[in-house]
Amino acid sequence: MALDLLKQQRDGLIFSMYNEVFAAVDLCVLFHFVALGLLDQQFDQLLALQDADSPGFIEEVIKLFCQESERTLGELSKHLSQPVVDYTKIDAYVHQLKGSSASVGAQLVKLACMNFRQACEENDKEGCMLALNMINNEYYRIRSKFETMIQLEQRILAYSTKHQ
Amino acid sequence: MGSSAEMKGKNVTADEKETYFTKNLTALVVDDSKMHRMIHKKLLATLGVESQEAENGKEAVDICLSGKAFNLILMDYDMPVMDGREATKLLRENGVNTMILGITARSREWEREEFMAAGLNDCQEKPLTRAKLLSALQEVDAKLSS
Repeated sequence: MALDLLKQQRDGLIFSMYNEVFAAVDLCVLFHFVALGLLDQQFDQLLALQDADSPGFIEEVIKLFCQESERTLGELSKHLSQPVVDYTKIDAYVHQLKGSSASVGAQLVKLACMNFRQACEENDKEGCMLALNMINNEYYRIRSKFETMIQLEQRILAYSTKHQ
Repeated sequence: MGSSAEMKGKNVTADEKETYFTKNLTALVVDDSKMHRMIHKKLLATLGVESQEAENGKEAVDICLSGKAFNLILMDYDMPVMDGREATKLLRENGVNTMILGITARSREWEREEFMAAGLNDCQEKPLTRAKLLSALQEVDAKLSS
């Protein structure tokens, strides 16, 4: 029974992440006011990969996503604070983050990265800083949800192991 | 990790694998992101494909030129030490004719063309989905069977 409740909580959280609308103003303009959830269907693909052979798969992927994203965000911030900005280097970091967010289904982070790239191509330092701010906002918003999800996953796993 | 990575592919039974491919297939996953290597290897494992991993293009070239053969290489674009374009070019120059599928977050047409020109068979934008991977593997399998 307790296990069922934990699973319901986790599934409810994931459902809300697909459906909560968090699109920021400029993203709305860019994407014609399409309502977007924090997650897209790519996350379903990841969920489908978790099986009895790898019960901690989702947790591990999310932890790696957070580690790699925070490292990249740090690099972006560092490079943007230089007097002369190397836009080629910044572009490569933005693509890393865009790829990672696309692969976990973090679509608002991915869209914020696309916004950043636009500013990067125009060598627009101020635009890049604004875009970085937006990426940070979207990233920390989804990280907070992911943290709750991991806690629920850990409780589910612990409960399942204990009652096997 | 890297060249010493273990070969895995145990998520699918022998009978289930028959429904996807007629041959036992192997793949090399090349990406500097540990998260991507983990996801791509898991996707391959669910299709019964054994895989090895490399953290950058140079490591991938070294593995392939050491004599290790694969049926498919999943090649990232942006990587430190050696990027996906240079690695693909070097592999082709050295006679490696394995199917190489570029996997990149870059979405501009000219970037895709540039990557393709290095010698890719195909290029897909991240995320790599099960459907995209299955399609590439079926192409490899069909060539092996013909």
